[in-house]
Amino acid sequence: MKLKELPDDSPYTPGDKACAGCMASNIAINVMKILGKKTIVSVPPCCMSVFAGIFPAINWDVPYFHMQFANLASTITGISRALKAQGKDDVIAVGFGGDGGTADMGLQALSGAAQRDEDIIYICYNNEAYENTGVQASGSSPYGSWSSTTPVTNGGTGNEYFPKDIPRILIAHNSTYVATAATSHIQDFISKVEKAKNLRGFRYIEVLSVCPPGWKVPTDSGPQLVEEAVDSGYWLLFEYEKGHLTINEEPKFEGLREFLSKQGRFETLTEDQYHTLEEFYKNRWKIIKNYQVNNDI
Amino acid sequence: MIPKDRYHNMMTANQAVAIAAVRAKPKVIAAYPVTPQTTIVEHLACYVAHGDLDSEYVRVESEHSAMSVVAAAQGTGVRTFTATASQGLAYMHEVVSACGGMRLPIVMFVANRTLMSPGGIWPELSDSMPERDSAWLQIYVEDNQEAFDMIIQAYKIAEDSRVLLPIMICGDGYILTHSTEKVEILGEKEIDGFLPPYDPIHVYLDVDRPIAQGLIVPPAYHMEAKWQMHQAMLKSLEVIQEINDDFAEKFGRDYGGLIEKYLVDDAEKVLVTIGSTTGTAREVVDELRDKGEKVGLVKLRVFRPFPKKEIKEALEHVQSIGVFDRSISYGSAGQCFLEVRNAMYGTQMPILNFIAGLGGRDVRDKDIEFMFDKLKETEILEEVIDPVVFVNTRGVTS
Repeated sequence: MKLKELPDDSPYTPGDKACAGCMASNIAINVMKILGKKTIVSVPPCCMSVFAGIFPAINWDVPYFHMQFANLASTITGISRALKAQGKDDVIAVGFGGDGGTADMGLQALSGAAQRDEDIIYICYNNEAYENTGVQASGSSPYGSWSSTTPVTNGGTGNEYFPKDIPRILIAHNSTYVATAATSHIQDFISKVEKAKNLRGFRYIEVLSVCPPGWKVPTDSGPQLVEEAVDSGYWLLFEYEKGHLTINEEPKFEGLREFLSKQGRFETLTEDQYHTLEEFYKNRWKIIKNYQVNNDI
Repeated sequence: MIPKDRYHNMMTANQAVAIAAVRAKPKVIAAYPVTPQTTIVEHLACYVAHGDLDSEYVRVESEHSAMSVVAAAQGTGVRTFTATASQGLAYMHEVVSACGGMRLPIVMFVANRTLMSPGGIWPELSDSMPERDSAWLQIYVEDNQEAFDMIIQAYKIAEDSRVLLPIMICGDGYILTHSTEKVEILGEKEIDGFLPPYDPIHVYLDVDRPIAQGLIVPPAYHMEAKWQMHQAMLKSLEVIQEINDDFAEKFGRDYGGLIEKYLVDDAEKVLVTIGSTTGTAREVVDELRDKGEKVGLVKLRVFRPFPKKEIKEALEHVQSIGVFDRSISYGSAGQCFLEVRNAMYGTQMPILNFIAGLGGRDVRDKDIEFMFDKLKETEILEEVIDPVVFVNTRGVTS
């Protein structure tokens, strides 16, 4: 499907209560345009459950199931198994989860569903912190970043940990389909969601989601920042399918310093921390690159 | 293979429960092992593998996921089953508490076991009692036959349009789950007649008719939903009784519905029991009756909703009441006791609370005799100061 072939209407309908400039709405709109109306959606507690799922006005024009924080993967498993038991083979069970629910407390259920190759699509919109509760660091927050639980004080330096690599954890499960995506590379994004739609088994797509209040950036900066994230090697674009990893976009490794300096959450990053980050992203690239190199060995 | 027709066999409550689940034909089963429930999911794995049951058997990675899978599957419109115990029930608690508000008629068996700490794998009701406020119906069974019969009845109760709430059938770990006794397994066809295939009448996830479940509901709309849950709970009292009577008429086993009264009508001292201890207490009542003592027994079957009216009617005429609890709300009293005393509000009845059998300690004949003896003391007491009595406890009572 080409960008211009995307339908105008999305089963994720307009008028949600997301913050100005939130990229998560954008992700939901576009994913649902591709998946269509024969879809059952589940969302755990996260930004999206609040800005699109409060009674009596919700934004989902498809069946919607709101469950708990740690069980998105097992919840959509239950939906998927019930659909199978009823012979409804043409209905998709999809979950939209934030990075906290995915990388932290939801990891156990996610791992179980991946191991069993449950017939589900799991979309993680990764805004790199517990943004819904007011910007607390999550297992997927970047090193050196400010959050309300990694305060920057005279002696403090923001987040002391590095983000968990969920796609790589799921690749280690030999999952059916694992991909990363970015809204700036929309054609790549469309192809990945479409591919996931047409496959059967466990499918996971993680999309970078700019959060203006959490990242401390202007509300109109999201699309540009996503593009810079890809160019700088901060966000890699790849997909893993049936044991085969493909890199979709070679990072230029340009502009990391500029990309970080535009974000208030990195305001107090020291020079040492910057070099640590630079090294971290280059190393991550090497690891992913090695997967591709070793594909046919 | 399980015989299709009615048959008798020696079996544990766990096997009886697993066969009852097969007869009820759930479409999705979530399975996770926890002592002393484990053999239920083992039996079910075999029944599914051998073709006794056509069901999606999901071998989940935790109890939290077990309840998530059955809740979402039930929400998608199919009958489900799972079983758990103790720490497993505590671990799934946040999902358990979500099911009532979504009005999902899930059936779960709980093999009652102590909740740490101190740790232990032996019977106590400290696992299911904390769930009494989770909007699940709770029925406690006395023996393996009742465990089988109540799983079948549970589906019919929960799925009734007047109820639409989840239900847990609770049975004492080991005493029932690992002890063998004769059980009559009802035939497939006769159960199909009693419990027809599941036809979801509640809201469920269907792409042809989009609805939402489990939404965040702000204060402006919140209380009405909870009032409805309370009303459905209260309404289920009559549904449980109706289904008990229907079952009794069809299959010849009458459990009395909400409570079972044993030699209560002319009794002066009555012990209220729950779970398998009822069997022991019934024996002791017989022995004391032979000696001319006017004692009786009320077996508490349904704990949620609590049959307040039936308890009061049954016990209004007696002189004193003892309530047995195999669990305690620390700093207060046993949960059954609190409910019974609440039901007797307005009477000046002396009521004692006997805490016994915690962590699986045996509740022996002489412990029950001790309880009835203790009730005699109330005849000379003007007021019961501390009603809580620990039975067969070193350094406290011996």
